This record gives sequence, C-alpha cells and structure tokens, in this order.
Amino acid sequence: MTDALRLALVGNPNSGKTSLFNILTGSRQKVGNYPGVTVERRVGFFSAPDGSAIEVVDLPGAYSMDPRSADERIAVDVLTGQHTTEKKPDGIVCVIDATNLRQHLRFVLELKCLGSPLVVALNMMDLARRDGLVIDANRLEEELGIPVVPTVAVRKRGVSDLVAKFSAHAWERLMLRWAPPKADLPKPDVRSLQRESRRIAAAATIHEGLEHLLTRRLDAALLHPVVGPAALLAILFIVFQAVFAWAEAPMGWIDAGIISLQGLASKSLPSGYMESFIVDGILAGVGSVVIFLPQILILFAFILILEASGYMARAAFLMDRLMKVSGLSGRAFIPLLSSFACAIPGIMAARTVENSRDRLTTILIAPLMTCSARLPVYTLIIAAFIPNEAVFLGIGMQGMVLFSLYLIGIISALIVAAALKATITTHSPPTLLMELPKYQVPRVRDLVIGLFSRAKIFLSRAGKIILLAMIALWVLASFPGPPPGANEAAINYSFAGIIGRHLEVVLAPIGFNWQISVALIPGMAAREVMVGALGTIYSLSGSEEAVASGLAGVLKGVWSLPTALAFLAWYVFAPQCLSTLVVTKRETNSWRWPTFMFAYLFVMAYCAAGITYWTARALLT
Amino acid sequence: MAQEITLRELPRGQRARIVRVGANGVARGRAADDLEQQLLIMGFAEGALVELRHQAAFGGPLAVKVDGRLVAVRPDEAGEVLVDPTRAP
Repeated sequence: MTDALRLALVGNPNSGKTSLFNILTGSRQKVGNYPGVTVERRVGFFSAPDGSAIEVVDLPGAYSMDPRSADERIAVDVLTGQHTTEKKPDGIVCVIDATNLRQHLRFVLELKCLGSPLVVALNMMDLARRDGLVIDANRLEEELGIPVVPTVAVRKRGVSDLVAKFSAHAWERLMLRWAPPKADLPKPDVRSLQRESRRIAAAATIHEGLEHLLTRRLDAALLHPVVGPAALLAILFIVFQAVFAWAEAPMGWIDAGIISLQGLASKSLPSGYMESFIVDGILAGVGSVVIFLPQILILFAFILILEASGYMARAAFLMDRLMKVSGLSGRAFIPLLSSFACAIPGIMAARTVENSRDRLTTILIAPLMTCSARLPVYTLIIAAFIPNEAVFLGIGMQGMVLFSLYLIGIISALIVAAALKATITTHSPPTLLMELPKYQVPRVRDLVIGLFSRAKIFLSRAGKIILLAMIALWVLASFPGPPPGANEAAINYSFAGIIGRHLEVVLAPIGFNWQISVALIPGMAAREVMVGALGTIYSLSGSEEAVASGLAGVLKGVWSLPTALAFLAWYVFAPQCLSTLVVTKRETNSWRWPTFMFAYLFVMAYCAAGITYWTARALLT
Repeated sequence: MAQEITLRELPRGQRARIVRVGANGVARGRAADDLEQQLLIMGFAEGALVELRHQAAFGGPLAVKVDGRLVAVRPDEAGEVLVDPTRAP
C-alpha cells in the first residue's frame, strides 16, 4: 500500500476530529505510540468507492503551529515533514467547528502557509444548523482559497457520503480547487491571522446562530460555585461506587477461573518446579493483572464518557483552586482520579497535563493515591486489629480507619507536590487556559473504540511487566529449595527469605518482624500479593479468602498492635509496585525519575511506619 | 466614552470587547511573552468579544466566553487582558 494516498487529519481539540476519524476508518485503525514520546499515534485505512485504499493519520489536536505540548509538537513535526518516523502526508484535512469559525479559521490560515495540499472539513454542521447558524461554504472556499467540504452529522448514514468526499478521485478534484501559494509565505503573527480569520468568518456567515442552549443551561448549574462542586462530588461518588461495586462480580469470576486453572494445572502436572512455575509463577502472575481489568475497564469507560461529554474539563475547572494550593493546575485532577483504581492508567493519563514539569509532578505523586490493590491489605489488617465498633452515629471504627488511610494519601500527595514544585520541578506558575467544550452526548462508536484501545495498551504494558516480575519473584521465592527435614515454610530458605532476613535489620526499628520483611519481597510484584505471601510464610494454604480469613486470626496472635498500625502506615506510601516504576520509566523516558520515586516513597513509608510504631508503643504502654 | 478595565474586573454577565492583551506586568520576560501568546491562541485577541460567565469559589478560575469558545482562565491570567465594556454590542 505504498502508493496509497496518505491524508493527515488535523484540527483544534474538540473539533470532532477523532469522531470523524473513527467513522472513516471504523475498526481498520491501529493505535500505537510515537517513538520516545507518549503521544498516541492513530493510523487507519478506508476504501474509497473506486476500491483504492486511503491511509489517514489522526494527528493530535493542536491549537496552533507554535507547539506548546508534546502532542502539538508531534502534529507540527509531521505536518512540516520534520518528524523522524512519520512521513509527511500527501494532503491535510483540517477539521474545523462550524459553530466557532472565527477561532478555528486562524489555524486553517496557519496551515495554509505550509504550502501542502489542504482541504477544510467544515464539521458539526448539524449543530450549527440546529442553532440557526447559516454559513456560505462557497464564499468560505473563495475567501480561503482552499476547498471546503461540509461534513454533516457524523452518524451512520453519513459514512458513504463522507468516504466518497475523501476518495482518491475526489481528492484530485478537490485539488483542482486548491491554489498552491506562490512562494513561501512569511509566517504572519497571531494577531494579524486572528484579524484575517475574523474578517473571513464575518464574510462567510449569512446568519449568526444562537449559542448552544444545552451547554449554557448545564453550565449554569455545573459551574455554579456551590452546585458545581456538589455535582462533581456526586459524580465522583458514582464513579467510585461503580469501580468498586460493579467490578466485584466479574473480579470474583476471574479469580475463580484462575483458581480452577491452577487446580487443573497442579492435578495434571507432576509436582515439582515445573508445576510450581506454572501455578505460582505464570498463572498467579497473569491472574494478578487480569483481576484488575474489570475495575480498570469501568474506570476507563467513565473517564471516556466524562471526556466525550465535555464534563472532564469542567471537573478540572472546579478542582483548579484546590490543586493550585500544591502548585498544580486543575488538569492534574484527571490522572490523579484514575490512580485510585490503579496508578498505571493514572500515570499514563498524565500526558493530558500540558506543562512537562507539571506532568512529572503529577506522575511522581500518582502512587500516593490509594489504588485498589492496597484494599486487600488494608481490609486484612483492619479486620484483624481494629475492633468492629461504632464510633458515633453508626460510623464504624473500621470504616473510619480505612477512610483516614485514603485521606492521608491525598493530603501527603498535595504536600509532596508542593515540595516538589518548590524544589526540583520549579517553574513559573502554571497557566490554566483550557477550553471548556460544548456538551455532547458521547457516541457509542467512539466509546467502544476508545475503551478497546486503552484496555489493549494497559494489558500489553502492565501485563508484560507484571508477568515478568512475577516470574522473577517466583524464582527468588523458590530457589534454593528447603533442606531435607526442614520444618519452616519453603520460602524461608529461598533467596527471598535470605534477603528478607537481611532486610529485617533495617526494618526492625519500625516494628517489622522477619516474616513481614520476607513477604515484602514477593509483595513488590503487586501490593495485594503481600496477602498471599504472608499466608505462605505463616504456612497457610487454600484460596485467597480462606488465607485472608485464616490469616487475620493468626496475625492477631503474633503481631502487636503497634506493628499492625506501622504496617498500615507503611502501605500508604510504600513503593510496592514494580509495574508503577516501569511505567514511570516509560513515560519519563529515563530511570532517573522511577529511581527518585522509589527512594522518596521508601523514605516516607519508613518514616511514617516508624513514627506510627513508636507513637503507638508509647501510648499503649 | 471608552473605559478600560481588566478582564478579571469585568462583572459577571457583562459583555466587553478586548482592547489589549499582555504587557500588564503580572508576569515578566519570557513567561509574559509565553502567556500573551497562549492567550492569543486561545482566542483572547484585540477586537474579540468576551463575557465573564462563571467564577469558581474561593478565587478560583473564571469561565470566559470569548467569541464562540468558553475558556477557563485563572484570575491572574485574566488580569493580562484589558477590555472595554462600552464597546460591546
């Protein structure tokens, strides 16, 4: 397909560009990454009515050819032919919002200066018409000197029309209407482009439309200084409820599925290292990733809906004041919200933060948000050590402890962010300057495509890493085997056991015994693995629930209350997740920041556990 | 009678026309140029029609309608934009 016509879709964010891309290419698209940066590369194909294949690249949204973010930089480099891997496209399709010609035309004028074949897709014509806006597309074409194609209602019935409009033949005809600029034009400044686009917009507009009424009405409530934050809280509550409650059943099925596979494997394989490798290494490793898929899919679905509907920018608007306290902007709110399910999608979502230093700060504090992998550990320790009593008004003490663990994480994140901003990620105060797009009903097609591609990225990134880590940790925990006649759990004689006993020297001052120290080694794979590891060490076996309920009883007998509390405090901060560190390496492109993240989290965990342990001891004796 | 105030001083619901962007001295040097450029790109250019729509609580950001686009800006950033309410239609 080397001869296929290659088109690039560009446009301001919120111009409906990605919807247009999805409708053109459907499932014939690939989502990857541009090398070295974490900007999504979306390429797809569609067949023109004459059978020829057309390749389309959906470039990241950009407001101007003067790049501000990594996203915009990619778009500009590809369009100017400076990108190292992406070839310069044969033609550019600039998608503009018909309801905001004045501003979107400025970008068209900037693109015109490039001298590449250019077509304008006058999008959202259905919205424009509904609001009473009448645009003279011919006049617009005349004024711009660029072919203008109105793209009406990006819905199913419009597909064939749309495809026909961008077929190779149609493209050639369109190009007859395109006049290449005579010479390289000097790049005019923003102000004069702005004036020119305002003039053209006025000339091409026959009748001014009314403002999008739904947006105005919804914003009156959702951006209200009192009602707005209350609505945001309610939405967050629903999201959390969904992530934790709806995911429970599918997580149970996955768990049961993995356990039955493990049972099947141990029955059909001769016992020994091979069996242990498959059951405790591979199956447990795959299971520990896949178990979080329901939660992550539900979370992604909500984030996609909130983004596509236009609400996400409003959430950032409402949270900006609070985030400003720690020197961040409201944009950092979305990645941090995702981190409550899992830090990995959170860190990946930090790419929406424009400023690179703010993005780094956001990535570094993401692990302080209490991810769902900490819950099994929290519930185990709380069930064992915190009495199930009501404190007041029916609020239980156990719930209070759990809530305060979440709260400590959030407050620490804000403090750490402020400290980072004051020291290593300093720069002039971040700007907010963010478009609040029109509200829209999200299109199912866009949601499905978005959900599928994000799930794929999560599984391939996190999956490989966690699997590798689990295998490595299995090796550590299995070799060397116990000597004949050993009466302790096998893990105690292994490398993990040896390392754990050395770690105990360091961890004893904060109240950790050698069993905890040993369990911390396999617990590096994922936080919840700690529960199983403790079970193994205290020589328990069986399903996770059986281990957890049995373990609670055992721990109650052998751990002191200060040790248990120190352990909880440790878990608020502990850098106990290899995948987070590896994803951080990927997103920051060096080992420097994951190393720093590990170090600062370790120091905080150590101090928090130490302070908790000694305070509790002093108070209890 | 021309009257120049900053965008952050514009009463809610009042329309105005932008008369000057940048050079108000909140930020200096490169940061000021950057902010000015960013404001221009988001549509805050001389001659554009603006209306202050919403303000978040506790001195939070403002939501400003600038031509056809609703944009969130911090009060400090809005201080860089001079507007004239008497020139609005």
